[in-house]
Amino acid sequence: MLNAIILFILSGLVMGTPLLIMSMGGVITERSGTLNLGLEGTMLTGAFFSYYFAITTGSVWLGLLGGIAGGLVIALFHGIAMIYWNTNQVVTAVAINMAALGITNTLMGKFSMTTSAGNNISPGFEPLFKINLGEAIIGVNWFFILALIMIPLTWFVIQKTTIGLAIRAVGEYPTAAATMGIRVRRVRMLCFLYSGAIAALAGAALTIGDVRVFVNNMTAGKGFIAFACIVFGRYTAMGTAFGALVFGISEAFRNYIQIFAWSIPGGYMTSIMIPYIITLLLLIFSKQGNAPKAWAIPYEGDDN
Amino acid sequence: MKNRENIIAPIFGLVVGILVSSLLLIMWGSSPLKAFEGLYIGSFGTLGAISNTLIKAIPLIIGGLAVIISYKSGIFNVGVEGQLFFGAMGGAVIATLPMFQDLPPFISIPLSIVVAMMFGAILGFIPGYLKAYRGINEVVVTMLLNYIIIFFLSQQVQPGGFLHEPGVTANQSAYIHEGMKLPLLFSGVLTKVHIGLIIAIVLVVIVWFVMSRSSIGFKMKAIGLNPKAAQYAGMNMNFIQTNVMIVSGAMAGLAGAIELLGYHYRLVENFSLGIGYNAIAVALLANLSPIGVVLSAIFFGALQAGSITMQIVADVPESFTKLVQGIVVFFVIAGAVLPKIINKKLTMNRLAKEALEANQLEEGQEDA
Repeated sequence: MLNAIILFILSGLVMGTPLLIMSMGGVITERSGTLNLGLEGTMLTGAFFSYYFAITTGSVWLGLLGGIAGGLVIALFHGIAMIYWNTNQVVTAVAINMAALGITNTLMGKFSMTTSAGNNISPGFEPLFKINLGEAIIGVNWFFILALIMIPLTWFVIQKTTIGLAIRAVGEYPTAAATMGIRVRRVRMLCFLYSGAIAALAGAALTIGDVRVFVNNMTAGKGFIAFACIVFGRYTAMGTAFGALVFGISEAFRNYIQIFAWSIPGGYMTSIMIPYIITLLLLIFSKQGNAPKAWAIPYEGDDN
Repeated sequence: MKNRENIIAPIFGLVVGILVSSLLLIMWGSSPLKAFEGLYIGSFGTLGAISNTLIKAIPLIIGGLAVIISYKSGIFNVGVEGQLFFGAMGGAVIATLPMFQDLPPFISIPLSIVVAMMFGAILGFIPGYLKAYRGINEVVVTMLLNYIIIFFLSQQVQPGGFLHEPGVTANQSAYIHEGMKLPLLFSGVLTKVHIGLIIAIVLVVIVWFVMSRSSIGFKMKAIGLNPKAAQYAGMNMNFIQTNVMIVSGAMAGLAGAIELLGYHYRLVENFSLGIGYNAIAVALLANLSPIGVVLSAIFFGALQAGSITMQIVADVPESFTKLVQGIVVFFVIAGAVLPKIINKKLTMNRLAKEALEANQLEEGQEDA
């Protein structure tokens, strides 16, 4: 029984790996006072380009780099508009997600016009070890290790370092931070680019780190779920990680239903809906608040 | 002045967006001229194409209005997609289930539409209430609901679902009852344009009137522009925002019913995928003007209607139109703020120059 529980949590962590990685990046942006609802599009872009470059160059590492570069380009446009031009942060994110969906769909369409169906499996990262569930085996690769390292690391950076202090300062009192000589926009932009790169990395974990193919809109709302985890975790690294773990477990539950052919009302489709429903319920019944004071408020002051 | 800015941003967005997407096409080795030629042929080239464009524009107009009223009230309904799907399911309960097949069409059509609007309203209420009374970000809630509802619809048209057509293996609902199709407008001439177009236009006028000529519209805009000031002025912000979301959801549900009764005639998985998100693009390109929505919906309707011809003529994937859409919207948003930023930079430069000159003048006087 204890074994089963450990396996359950472990497979939850494994299933939640991309989400964990992404939300650890996202929490940094939110703490710096920028609303980042564009994680979805950035992750999708990262997922596509890592797949695309891995399959065209034949190297997973080049694929990973390409994916991160793609995510950075999207985050660059998004960040410049929001942070330097003070556009509405919600609307800009919606546009960015739309554009990312369009870019990846179009490129994938062009790509599959030229590739035969048998050749569309990209190289991927080999599993470091495997979890045996009896009926099925889950492979675990270094993305999982990375996610585990990122949780304490993100907490440490935010809470215990000078960089973290600057991040928190521009998120809570940007004007005061500017008086102290911190360049508010630059700090926010760097945080934003960081979370863009991390979201793209998480996208790579979906394609070259897991299924090795790209499917249109394959992120399926993970960016929004990551954001929900951050809100649920009250904008702290540890709380967010806990939220991501809960989501991972609910995804693992879905896999259990498929693997062991458990019968539930509504069948397989219900199990697909469960993670979204659980996220929504978590969001509704968690305690709200604790957002950084200048969160989602564009910085109006001057700095260079 | 305000009117000029209202037009500059969309035009800037359109021009730059089309230029950037053309550049991307050239980078990928396709000809943008050919692609846009294909788009034009598929959307305005023939009477049938124009009809297609208009049919695609109808739900976009209604959905765009739903986005506008929410956005102007300071709450952003990104959930038109889910509300439209849920509304269509509600409409399908009346339109496809056998127990309602004996109703005469003049009862069943309005009933189906009303039920659809109620379903949409319920789904709009959830994020509205959570935002207004619990402070939960409405974008996340509506996005999560979108995913849940789209899966829910798939589940219910699959074998075992309550909307599934009995005795068929395909994932679909039954065909709508005899006589429940929305009447066509010009039979024979513009082939398939249905009465939904009239409904959409009437709605445009109503929304325009409410937003610009009524006190409730004034309150909504006041809340959207400055929530704190509006609350000090005694407006019940939470109550108004929740109700706006209910109305917005009902409008999305109406769009769903019109899609069902006017165009698709049965529910299938993903039957109108993307309309809700396109409606956001429509509202933003229209710069949130109810009248502008008609033009912008026709533009996006044309993009959709022409996408298949474009794929055939220019060998560009259909989804290229999504890319154009996203990039256009991005630059519309940027276009709305860039003039201010440039203006500010110019003013700063002028001030700096003046200060410098004044300084030099003073120094000159001291020297003398």
